[in-house]
Amino acid sequence: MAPAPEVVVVAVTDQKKTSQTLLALGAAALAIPGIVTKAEAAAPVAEAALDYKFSAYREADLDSDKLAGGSASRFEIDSHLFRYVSPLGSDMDVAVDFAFEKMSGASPWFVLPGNNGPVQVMSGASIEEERTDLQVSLNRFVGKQLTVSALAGLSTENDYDAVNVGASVDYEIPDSQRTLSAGFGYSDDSLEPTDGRLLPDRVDTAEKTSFNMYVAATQIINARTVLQGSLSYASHDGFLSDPYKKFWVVDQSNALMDSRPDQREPLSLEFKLRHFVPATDSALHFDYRYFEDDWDIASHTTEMAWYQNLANGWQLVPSFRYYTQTQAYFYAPYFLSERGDGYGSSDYRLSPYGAISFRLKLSKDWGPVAANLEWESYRASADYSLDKVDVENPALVDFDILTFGVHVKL
Amino acid sequence: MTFYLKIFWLTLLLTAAGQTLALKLGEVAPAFTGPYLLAVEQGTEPSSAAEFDSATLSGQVVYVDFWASWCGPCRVSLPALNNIYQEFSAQGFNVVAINLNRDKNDALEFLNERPVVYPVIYDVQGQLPEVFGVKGMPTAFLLDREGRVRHIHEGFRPGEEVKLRELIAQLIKEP
Amino acid sequence: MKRIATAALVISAAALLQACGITEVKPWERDYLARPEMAWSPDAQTASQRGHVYFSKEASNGGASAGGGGCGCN
Repeated sequence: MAPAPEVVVVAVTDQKKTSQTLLALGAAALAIPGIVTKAEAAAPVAEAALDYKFSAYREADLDSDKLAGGSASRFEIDSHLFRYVSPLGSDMDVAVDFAFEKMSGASPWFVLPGNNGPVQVMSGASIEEERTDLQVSLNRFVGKQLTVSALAGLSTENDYDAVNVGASVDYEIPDSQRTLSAGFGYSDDSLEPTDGRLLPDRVDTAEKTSFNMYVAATQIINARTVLQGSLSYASHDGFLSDPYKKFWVVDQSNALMDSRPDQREPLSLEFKLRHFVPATDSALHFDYRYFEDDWDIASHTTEMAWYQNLANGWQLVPSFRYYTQTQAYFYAPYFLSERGDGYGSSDYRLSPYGAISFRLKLSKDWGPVAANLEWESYRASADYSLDKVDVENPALVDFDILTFGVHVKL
Repeated sequence: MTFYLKIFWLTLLLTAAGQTLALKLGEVAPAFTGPYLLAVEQGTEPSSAAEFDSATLSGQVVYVDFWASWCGPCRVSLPALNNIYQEFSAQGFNVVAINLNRDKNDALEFLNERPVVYPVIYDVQGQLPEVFGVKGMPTAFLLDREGRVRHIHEGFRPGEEVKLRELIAQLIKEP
Repeated sequence: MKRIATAALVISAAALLQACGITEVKPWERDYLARPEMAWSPDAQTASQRGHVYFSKEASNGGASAGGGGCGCN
């Protein structure tokens, strides 16, 4: 290196003793790889890692005053989740996700008019089901600005099979603080409902296809804030009814099979904000989604989380989610007479309601190994709805999820 | 659908970002001085007066590497560079790493896990990356014996040290 | 009317951003942004499982994602 005309002097900084606490925090910041915002040159993950999670999902029993028949105890799901992430060659990385779930419990069947509002008839026998899901995604980093991803997955349950594929691109505009993304997904589902061949009004087999696409823009606002806006569109075609649900028609004194249009087109607009607070060593997450579809359903989802880093690799994350939706145009708790178009559903998921959910996550990082424990409590009610609800569906669900996870660097 | 797309693009157009100047290939890199993060001998805390001066590397092939502990690819580049440094240091090759961490303790922790034997200096004000024109993390500038920039290495992926080794071997042979 | 409200919301958000100003952030100043807790989904596993739960218990789903497995839960 030859002497050059210009000499740049770096400011001399103070030489304080290394604080043990800060060392530990530094380690924590490095340990958990994730899908990081494109703040550094886009690159594959540096190290392979394995994650395992066990989660117990429990739905609360139906209130006895809302139950007209069947079992009051609802769904339980025990899940085992595995995730493996690894660099692949010099410019790729791969993620493999595997889930195995065991489900059991009764589910809402149809709704009857009652003396104090509608009451729910549940399915009698406890359903026992298993679900396995495998998803593989591949990211390729082309040059410094472009990331191309492809994914494929397979999902099976006792009564259905699904395959899905998807692809996306992220492009960081050179010398800017903006990344543009676009992607699509396609899924093909085959249903073969339990007892479909025994029950005359239950469908034997059915098909459903879904296509979705999105565009997104990510903008770095300042050294501590990043914002993402996205727009997505989906199209679902085929059998979109619930083969296990019925709706009550009063003038026929009969329950008819849940029947929905065979097409649905949702649109959603989403904003996500991430803001770092150096003074408290914490990160604020704020997400908002507006959703609407051609079934007249519109919803607002707001999520806030506070990631608080603590000493010695501990982290505490409280979060809150608020959800509110309007009803599908062919929904009613029960029908006085059949609709002219033949559609009808008493599914609580198509009813007007709101839901609040609290979550608390505690994690500890030892460097090569990390562990976390998370609890979520979800409560749905017509009272939480943004719009006034005249009649609450009796089957609105409350659930709790307890999750334990370990992360191992390989 | 088209309505929402219009809003989306409008939102995009409403903002813009700036440009930075950069050191180009063939240009002579500026000389610089700066405080050591770690002394050349691994593990010892440098005295407060210890300053690195690029003039001491006059006439050598130098790899100036800008890095930070939070940068993912730096976990690949630092160990790779350490190997290259040990291989070529006797033949007039040097690595100068310029750490850009906000908190130097994070950098020290990183080096504790992935030790290097080449000099690491610390630039909390971010003056050097400005002058060199660092465009991503990590970015490195390979200087020939005349101090000219011969190669700019942005990012670092596994296996890239092979090409880098060839390039360095070639520059060392130059008079 | 709903559309006008949405448009007004988005455009005012963009204008607000512009007013607050986007500051230039040098590549070496992106340490906070690169932290794992600043990721869109710091815990990909839980995020996808939770997405599946909400998807099967609520009428809304979707967002900026190419993924998502099937579900027999119409």
